[in-house]
Amino acid sequence: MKKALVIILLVILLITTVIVCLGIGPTGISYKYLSGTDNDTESKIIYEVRLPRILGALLVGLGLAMAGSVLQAILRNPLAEPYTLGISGGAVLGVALCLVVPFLSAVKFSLPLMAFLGALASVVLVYLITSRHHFSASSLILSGVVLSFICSSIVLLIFSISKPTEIQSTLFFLMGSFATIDYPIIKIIASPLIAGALVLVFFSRDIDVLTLGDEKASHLGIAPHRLRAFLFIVTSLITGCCVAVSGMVGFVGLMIPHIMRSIVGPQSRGLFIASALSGAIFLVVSDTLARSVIAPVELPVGVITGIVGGVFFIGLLINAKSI
Amino acid sequence: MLKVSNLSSGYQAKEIIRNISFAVNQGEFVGVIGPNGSGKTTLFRTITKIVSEYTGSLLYKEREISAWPVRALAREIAVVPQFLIMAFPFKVYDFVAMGRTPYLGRFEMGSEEDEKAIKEAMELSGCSGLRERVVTELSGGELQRVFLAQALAQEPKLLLLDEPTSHLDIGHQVEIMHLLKRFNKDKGLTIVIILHDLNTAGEYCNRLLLLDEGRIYKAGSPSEVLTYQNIEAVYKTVVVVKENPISGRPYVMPIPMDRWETNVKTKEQRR
Amino acid sequence: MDNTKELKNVRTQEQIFLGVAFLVLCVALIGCPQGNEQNAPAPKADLSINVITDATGIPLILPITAQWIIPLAPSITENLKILNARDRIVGRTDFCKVDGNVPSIGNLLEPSIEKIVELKPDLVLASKDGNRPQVVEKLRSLNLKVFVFGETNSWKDMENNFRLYGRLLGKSDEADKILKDIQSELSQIEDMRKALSHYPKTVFLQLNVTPLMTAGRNTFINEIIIYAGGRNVAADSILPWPTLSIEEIIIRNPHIIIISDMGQITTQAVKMWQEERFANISAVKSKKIYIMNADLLCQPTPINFIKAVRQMREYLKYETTDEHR
Repeated sequence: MKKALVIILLVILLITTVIVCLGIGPTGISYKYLSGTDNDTESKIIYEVRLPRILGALLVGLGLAMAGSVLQAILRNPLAEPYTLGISGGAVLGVALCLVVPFLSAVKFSLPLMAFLGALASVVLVYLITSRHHFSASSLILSGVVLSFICSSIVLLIFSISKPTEIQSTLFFLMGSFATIDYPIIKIIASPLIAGALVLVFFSRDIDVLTLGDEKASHLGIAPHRLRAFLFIVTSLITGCCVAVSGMVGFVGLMIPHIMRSIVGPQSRGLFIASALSGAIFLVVSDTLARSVIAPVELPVGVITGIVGGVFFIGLLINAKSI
Repeated sequence: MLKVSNLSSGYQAKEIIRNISFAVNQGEFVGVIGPNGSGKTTLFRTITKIVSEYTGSLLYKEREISAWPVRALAREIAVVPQFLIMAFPFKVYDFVAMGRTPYLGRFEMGSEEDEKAIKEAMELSGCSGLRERVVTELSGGELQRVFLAQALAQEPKLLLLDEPTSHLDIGHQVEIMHLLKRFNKDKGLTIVIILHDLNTAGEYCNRLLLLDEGRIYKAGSPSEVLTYQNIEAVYKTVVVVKENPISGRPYVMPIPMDRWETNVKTKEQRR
Repeated sequence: MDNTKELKNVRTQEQIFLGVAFLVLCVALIGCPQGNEQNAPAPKADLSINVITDATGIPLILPITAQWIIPLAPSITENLKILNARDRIVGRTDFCKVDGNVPSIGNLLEPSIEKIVELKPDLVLASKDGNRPQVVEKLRSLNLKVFVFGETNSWKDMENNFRLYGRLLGKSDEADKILKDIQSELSQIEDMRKALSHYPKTVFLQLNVTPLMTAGRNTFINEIIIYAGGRNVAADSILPWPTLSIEEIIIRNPHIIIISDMGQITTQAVKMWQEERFANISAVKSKKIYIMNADLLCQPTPINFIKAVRQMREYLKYETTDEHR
């Protein structure tokens, strides 16, 4: 079984990546930590600065890659992704509102909640627009572009009328970063994110059938509209969780499922698991680069994935036979 | 098996099927013919609950279609589409295996029984050799056999086919129709098939439904339905109907307009 | 007292790998008389109210040991330098000007948190203006003592903050003395301003080229302009850092244009005013376009404030207008 082999390899690679990346950073700590360190500062840096970052990157990479592969399947379009569909944009708008509106910023958990609501609103809009065009590639990408544009415009509107201090935080959300991630926020998002991912794996057979089109899906005993609506909600939840932690990290959901599909094939179960694992690996590595390339200056991780993913996207557009 | 009485259905704006009644019995091989837009596909979509709004009664196994859950219905009725847009490159085996979906619970893996049904379906439809191929890279004839295999993997009691042969050359057409005939005879599978080619319809079906503007214009045996009068009235074109010398089934030949006007004799000839 | 010294030694040893130069500095820190002074009992004033609360509402009980400080913004560094606490700075941002070999912790908005942890500060100073609350929270979750200064929108804010620096560093007397001197100079200047016989000159203070950003009413820059005897053309803006349109500037016709030095952009700004469309602006006609050190305007410290006022008075001094009071 080639698929099983790939997945086992990815699991091993993920574990190795986590261990290696724990040892990489601007302060240059060696791998002594593996044998346990009694140095207070070192253990603080490893377990309270780097580990939460790595866990956050791992979860977000997992979530975004998963969300991307599901969206591609249920919209039957290989270009679908939270970022290209404007879902991340909606989530960022939710976050921006949250940071600026005093009432919202006071409520606990309002950040992930608003991110989720923003993502959900975008999904509903994209769905309404593209369902009229049978989820064609052009309508998907266009509505995504337009939606992202509207969201970022509103975010900029919020910027132009708020104090510089309030802008800064939102600005960082636009660029994506894991630098200030904390265990409490990881705890908040981990369970809905993992639950969402598991639900998607459980629904993988139905999702396979859904890629054959609505009519064939109902011939095979699946109610396509209900299922798709449900999957959209799950995807928004996952995306919202990701955005709430890391801000806007683009292209992970596009690139990873694409590469994985060419390796393990289009069957959802294998594809989802492989994508989740490699998405996690990719983002953990990206974040490690973000904190160490020009240390001690931190690069926003969204910048790294944006550049890598953007180049990949262009290559895809050039080489694709039909989109 | 299927009992339709006073059925009307369609889409929000327009009624397509208008008050039709017919019945399909166990083991029959029924052809549905009619010009474009006469409601053939809509009839199928109503039977398979894609079009959910209808008036009149539509009974499958004595139970109203609207009362059948989609999943249970998928174990009874399978559909072979004319064409499917394949978004992703599934392996043929995996594609056929999707036919088992209505039998599998969400947390269930395929059992040996499922495996057997898939293998058998692939053998019967002659695509065992395509097992490891990828659906996006198949020819029209191969793809049609794969669709058929998926439908057979559903182990249906009633098989609906929507113009399965319209993209195929004559060799593949005959191959598919021959396969269907065999399922019908050997397995007692009830088949309702939409066909464009009147001769194929006349050749293979026991009974034909001729639809015109959402109504049944004529129903009966091929020789009752495929008369030049019926065809002229429904298709608005001049034809000659002869008998196939080998099978004894009616054979329809279209006559070009200009020939018809210049050749007076034809009128007698076509009888 | 011995305890702290011992602690210092341990820490110094640990930081050997940071470079000999740094080590020398640390030794100097221990050796210098100032260090002993800080460990002396806190002045009376501090004993009466020994709890201070920062801008995020976190209380801090004084006195504290503040010997290894990391300032997270250049303005904080400047304030520390004024109070002769340069030696206590163990880490700086890329924008802080600190002589000697002090390791960087990155930039203001996204400093490298692990770098900060590694430097083991006993006090991290942040500002509401320059740092993100997420960074502060993260640092606090790592058991670091973080004090956040409130926004600096006025001389009053600057004064209050500076007193806080004094108390945090155990140098309240020093801080009070500096403030007193500046305050008396400001009162003098204020008296002279009130005695002026003519209307205040209008000033456009340019902080950027695209967009044409300036300072609004509720800023200390507006106060600098007022003290200097001018009137800010953007004083009616509710936004702290408004962008003016070109036509608005032409209509408001400032007597003086002051450009905050932005390096390359400054040359661009100077060139911009030579364009034909600005030809009728009074400041352009009379060539009253000045370039001012950006640090004086962007790093709010009492010293920078008084320096800025002095400098701006120079610019405005030779200005007369026809309109009299």
